[in-house]
Amino acid sequence: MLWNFFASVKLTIALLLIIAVISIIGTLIPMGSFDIYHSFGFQILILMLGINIVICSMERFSQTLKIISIKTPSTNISRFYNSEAKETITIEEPIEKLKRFIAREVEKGFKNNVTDDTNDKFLIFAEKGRLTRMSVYIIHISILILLLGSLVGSILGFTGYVNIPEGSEVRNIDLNKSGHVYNLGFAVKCDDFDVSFYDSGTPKEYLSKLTILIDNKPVLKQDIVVNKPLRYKGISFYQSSYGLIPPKEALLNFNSKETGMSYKINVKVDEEIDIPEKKGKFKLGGLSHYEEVGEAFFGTYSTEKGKEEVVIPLKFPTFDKMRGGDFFISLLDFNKTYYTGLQVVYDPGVSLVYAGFIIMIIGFFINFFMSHQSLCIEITKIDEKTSSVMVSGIANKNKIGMQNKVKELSLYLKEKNYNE
Amino acid sequence: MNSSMILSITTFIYAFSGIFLVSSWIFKKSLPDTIGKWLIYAGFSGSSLGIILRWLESYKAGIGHAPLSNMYESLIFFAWAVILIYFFINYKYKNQMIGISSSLFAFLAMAYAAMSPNINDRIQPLVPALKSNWLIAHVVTCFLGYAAFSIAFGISLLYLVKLKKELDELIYETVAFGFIFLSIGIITGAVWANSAWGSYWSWDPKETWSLVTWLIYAALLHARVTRGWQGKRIAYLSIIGFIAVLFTYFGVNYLQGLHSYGK
Repeated sequence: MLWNFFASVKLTIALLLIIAVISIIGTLIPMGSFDIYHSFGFQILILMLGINIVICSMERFSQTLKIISIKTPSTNISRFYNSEAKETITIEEPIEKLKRFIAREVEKGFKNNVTDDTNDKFLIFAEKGRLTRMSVYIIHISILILLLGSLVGSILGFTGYVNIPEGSEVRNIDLNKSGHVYNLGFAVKCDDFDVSFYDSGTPKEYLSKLTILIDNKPVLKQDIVVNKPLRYKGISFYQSSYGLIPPKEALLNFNSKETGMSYKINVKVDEEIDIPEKKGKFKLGGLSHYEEVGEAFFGTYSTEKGKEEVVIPLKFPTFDKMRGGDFFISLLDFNKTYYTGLQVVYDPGVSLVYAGFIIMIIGFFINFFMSHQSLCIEITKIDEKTSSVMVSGIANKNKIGMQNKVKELSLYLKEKNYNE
Repeated sequence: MNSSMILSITTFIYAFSGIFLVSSWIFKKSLPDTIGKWLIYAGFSGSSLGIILRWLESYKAGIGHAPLSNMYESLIFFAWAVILIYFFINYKYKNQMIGISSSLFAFLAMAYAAMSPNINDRIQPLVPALKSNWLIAHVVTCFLGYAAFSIAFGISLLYLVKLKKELDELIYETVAFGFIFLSIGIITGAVWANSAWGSYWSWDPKETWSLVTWLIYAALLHARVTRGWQGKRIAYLSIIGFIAVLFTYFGVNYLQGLHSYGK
C-alpha cells in the first residue's frame, strides 16, 4: 500500500509542483519573518521526494536490467515495419553486392549485429547505446547524493560570524543559528583591511590580510577578497562586510569667528569640554553613518541659549562652517581603524554535494544526447539487377533524430556509386 | 563603428528575419524563408561582433570584463544565445517554427534592451562579488537554458494554434535541451556562491525561482517520458515553465536578495 503510493510517478509530478509552489510562496513573504525552507513541513516534502525517487527507481530498474542483459538485439521485425522512422528505396544493384556493402556500413556505427540470410532476402539487425538506459538511475542517484550532502552539512556543519579589528586576533566566533559562541581551536588575526573604490564611487575590492596562529605562532598567511576565501582545517573564512571601529577620541580644531583664532583640542567621546574664549561647551557623541554625507562625527554644542547639533563628516572636515555659529569645529585627525566582517563556515557535506553535481551532469548528457538505438535493414531481391531496401530504426528517445538518421542513411545508400 | 551601433543594426536584422520567416510560413513560399535564414546568419554575426567589441571597449575603458554583468548586457547575450540554440536545434530537427520563434525572441530581447528606460547601456565596472571566473560559466549556461526555454515557449504557442504532431516532439526535445543548461547554470551558480559566500544554497529569491523553474520542467519531462503526456498538456506546462523563466530573469529584481546587480 505505502509502497505503491511511493512507486507512483504521479506522486513525483505532484511533489515537484507542490515544492515549486511552496518555494514561490517563500520568495513572496518578507525575509526574516518566517523561514519556510527550513520548516518541518518543507523538509517532510523533500524527504517524501527522496523516498519517491528511491522506490520509483527500484520499481523500474528490474525492467531496465532485463532489456540491457539480453545478448542479441531485437529481431522482432514487425516493430520495425511499424516504426515511424522507416524508409523503403529501390536500388539498381544486385542483392549480393548490396549485402556485403551494407553489412560493412552498419558495422561501422552499430554493435551486436545479427544477420538473417536467405536466397531472396537479407536481414540485418543492429543496435547501440543499450547502457544509456542506465542514465536515469545515474541522475536519480546524483539527486540522492546531493540531498544527503545537504543533510550532512546541516547536521555536522555550522555557519558563524566574526568581526576582527585591524591588528587584533580572535579565537571565538558567534554561530548564526543558535547564537552560541564557538571556539575555533586556533586564532585568526586581521593584519590589515582595505577597501578600494572606482572613480564613480562604487566599491572595487574589499581586502583583508589574515594570519592563522597556533600558540601565537603564525602558521598561514593569506589575503582574502570576496571571491577568494581562506580555508584552514576545513573551516572557510569569507569576506562579508567591514566597518570603522568607533573611535574613542578625535583631534578637533575649534575656530573662533570673533577673534579668528583656532584651538587644537584632543576631545574624548562622551566627555564635555569647555570651549576656549568662554563660548560654551562641547560634547563629542561619536562616529555615525549619515545618509547624505557618509561617515561623520557628531556632537552637541551648548551655550546658555540652548543646544545645537554639530556634524563633522570625514569627507568634508570643515562642513560645520555652514552652521554659522560663533565657533565652527573642524576635524584634524583621529585613529581610523577598520574591522573586517568574516563569514565562517564549516560544511563537511560540500564534497558530497559537489559529487552529486558532477554525477548529475554526466547523467544528463547521457540521458539527453544519447539513446538506445536499434536498426533494421531488409534487402529484398526484385530481379537480378534490382533490389528493394527497407531501412528502419527505433530509438527510446529523440524520435525525430532517429527519423532523420534513417532518411540520411537511405539517401546515402540510394545515391552511392557501387561501382567504385 | 562601436558596439552600440552594430547592436542597433542587428536588432533590425532580427526584426526583418522574423518578418520574412513568418511570411514564408503564411504564404507557403520558399524565397522569403531563404532570405529570412540568411538574415538570421547576418544577425548572429552582428550580435557576436557587438559582444566582442563591447568586451574590447570595456578593456579600453580600463575596467575590462566579459559583457555579462548587467541587464543590458544579459539581454544582448540572451539574443545571441537564442540564435546559437536555433542553429543547434534546427540542424537536428529542421523545422521552420524554430526559426520564427528564435528570430522573434532575439528581436524582442534586443529591442527591450535598447528601449526600456530602466536599462542602462553604459559599460560599468564589476562590483567585487562578480569578480570571479565562474561569472562566464554561470551566465553562459543559464542563458543557453533560458534561450532554449524561450524557443520551446514559442513552439508551444504555435502548437496550440496549429496542433501539428511534430511540434509536440519538438517542444519536448527543446525543453530537455534547456533543462540540461539550466541544471548546469544552477550548479555553477551554487559552486560560485560557495566560493564567494561559503554557502552553495541560500534560498535567495533568484536561486529559489531558478529552482522553481527547474521543478516545473522536471515535472514536464517526467509527465512526458513516464506518463505519456503529449500535445496540449505538454504545451501548457512549457508555457507555465516559461513564465517561471521570465520571473527568474526579470521578476526577482523586485524582491530583495543577493542577485541585485542583475538589475
